Amino acid sequence: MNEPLLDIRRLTAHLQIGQKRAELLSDISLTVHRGERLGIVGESGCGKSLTALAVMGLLPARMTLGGSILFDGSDLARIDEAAMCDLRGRRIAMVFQEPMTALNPIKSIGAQIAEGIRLHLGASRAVAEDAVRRLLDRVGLPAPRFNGDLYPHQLSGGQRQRVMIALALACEPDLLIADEPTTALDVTVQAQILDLIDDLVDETGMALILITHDLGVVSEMTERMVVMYAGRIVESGRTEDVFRQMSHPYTRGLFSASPHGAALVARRPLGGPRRRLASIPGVVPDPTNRPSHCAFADRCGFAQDDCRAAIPPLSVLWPHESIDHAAACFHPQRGKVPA
Amino acid sequence: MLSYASGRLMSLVLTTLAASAVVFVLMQVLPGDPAAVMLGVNAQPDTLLALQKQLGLDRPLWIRYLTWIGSFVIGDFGTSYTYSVPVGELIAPRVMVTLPLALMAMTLSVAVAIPVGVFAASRRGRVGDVASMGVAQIGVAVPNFWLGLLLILFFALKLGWFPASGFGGWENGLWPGLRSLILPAVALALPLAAILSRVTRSSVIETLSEDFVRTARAKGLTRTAALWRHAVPNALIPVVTIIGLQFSFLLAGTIIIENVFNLPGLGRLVFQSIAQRDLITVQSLVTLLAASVIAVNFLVDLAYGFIDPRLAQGGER
Repeated sequence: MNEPLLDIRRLTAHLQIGQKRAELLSDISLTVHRGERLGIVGESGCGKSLTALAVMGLLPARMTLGGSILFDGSDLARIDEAAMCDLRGRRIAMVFQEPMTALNPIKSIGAQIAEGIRLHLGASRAVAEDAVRRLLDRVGLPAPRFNGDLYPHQLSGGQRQRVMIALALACEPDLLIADEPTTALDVTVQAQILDLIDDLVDETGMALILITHDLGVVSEMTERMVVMYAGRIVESGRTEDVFRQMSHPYTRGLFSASPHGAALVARRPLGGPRRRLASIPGVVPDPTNRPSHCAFADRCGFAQDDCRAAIPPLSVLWPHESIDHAAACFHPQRGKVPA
Repeated sequence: MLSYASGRLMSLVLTTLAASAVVFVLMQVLPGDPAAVMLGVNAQPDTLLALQKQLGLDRPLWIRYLTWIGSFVIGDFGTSYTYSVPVGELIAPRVMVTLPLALMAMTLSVAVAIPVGVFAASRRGRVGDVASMGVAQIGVAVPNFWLGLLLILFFALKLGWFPASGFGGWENGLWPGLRSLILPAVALALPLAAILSRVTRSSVIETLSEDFVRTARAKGLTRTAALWRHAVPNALIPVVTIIGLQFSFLLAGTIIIENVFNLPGLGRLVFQSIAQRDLITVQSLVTLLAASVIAVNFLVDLAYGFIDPRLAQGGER
């Protein structure tokens, strides 16, 4: 029973562009247990979404995978397409970032939700219709205002994301991957959608991988987290531990650059001067040209000579009975996160 | 949907009227007086005047237009100057050749082009794609009359499967008529299918990169199921547009192909009546052909409404 549901071991992905080789993912290892909530954070282009798509088996065919993705015993990096189709939508489901384009504009939402149910569970039309009604109720699209005959263009962004969530939940998957589910939504709607995901994960006991660049969301929604930078995991551990002791300078930078993070650190005194958010200088190195040393060294305020000599391995800082706190840094930071 | 259809219908009527006015004015500004043509160079001036009066040519332009269009809409197309029979009687039997020919060509073109285009799109950049699009490229370049002659040489003269020319008629059952229309339909259809398959291919390729196709795959649909159930229906709108536009090319093509295959159809009638300065026949025929092109595009507009629910709602977005 202590077998993890998802066990990614030394996953790599690369793309051959002519003579150049782009390392998109390097040495990604992470586990998710049943019912567990994992947050993946990082800047755009750090490989968060690629990791998710690799688990779904939906990476473009041009990308070459290495390592293994064990899901409930079978290696998703190796199983054939037919077996993968049986898993997708049935046992692993995904909610995408763009609700405006992720739904087929010319099919009713009911038909789109029912499609997976009929495909995987072999449900009749009538049974699938009942299931659609129940799912719409559950995701907060109640009758009579909402029904399966509506088309995506008749719904707002938040409502469409609710439909996407209903679609993902349709076959009661063991693992839900939510890839920036609220990034494209209005701020007022974001909290509602996160609350909905939160409730549904509690209710169904499914595991959750939440991909986001918002540290506030990770701290509220997840039990454990990994921080990714330039295709690698740079810090991982229990969410609580990582927030208490951000060891990797990149995690700290991400934290002080985030409005939520900055607010957590220091509340601005009433009437006091407005503090600027601290941006991380520089840019993420191009995947075709990643250095053979720490990829963050050139943007890091704590970099020393050894940082420009080798890639720091992900090493345990504080062991924990189930989840170690680890960081890939030669000079892990200690002490409170500076404001 | 109903208000969408009635709106389209309204524009159908107006466009047809506008087309008929253009056709009418063009016929009037053509040099040559129909009465003079009918009577020949040696006509007496008073006979000429009498005939002009009889044909109504002495009245003002707009009265003549209204008289003509008024009888046109109730199905009275006037009397042919050269054959001296009602134009309607000239048209009716020829519609029974050209309409089946056009429908067969259109059906054949769509039936070939969509599977080929989808196939090529699904194997983008691979051998199947390159080969089928290479053939399509040749198809675009081949003129239909030349293709018609090749088909006659091979299937009619060498193999003897189909008649080389002429029309079998519908009197002795379907087959004799159908048999004589197959080669001309193929000659008309293939160049159209070549263009249509290229349009289908690029439209499907574009749709395949849409997020909702990935959503369909994430649901567990196979690549093929996601292609046919989600990508293709969304890719059809530009394809249907081209089908509508191709209908006018098809009618123009029948003028040539009916002459190549010696078929007694509308295309040949247009050709002959132009050669004989039978202006009233040309005028009615061209208006009729224009109306049929407009009607086909009306059907295309209706098809949009069925394909895309956003359009059926009419301008909300």
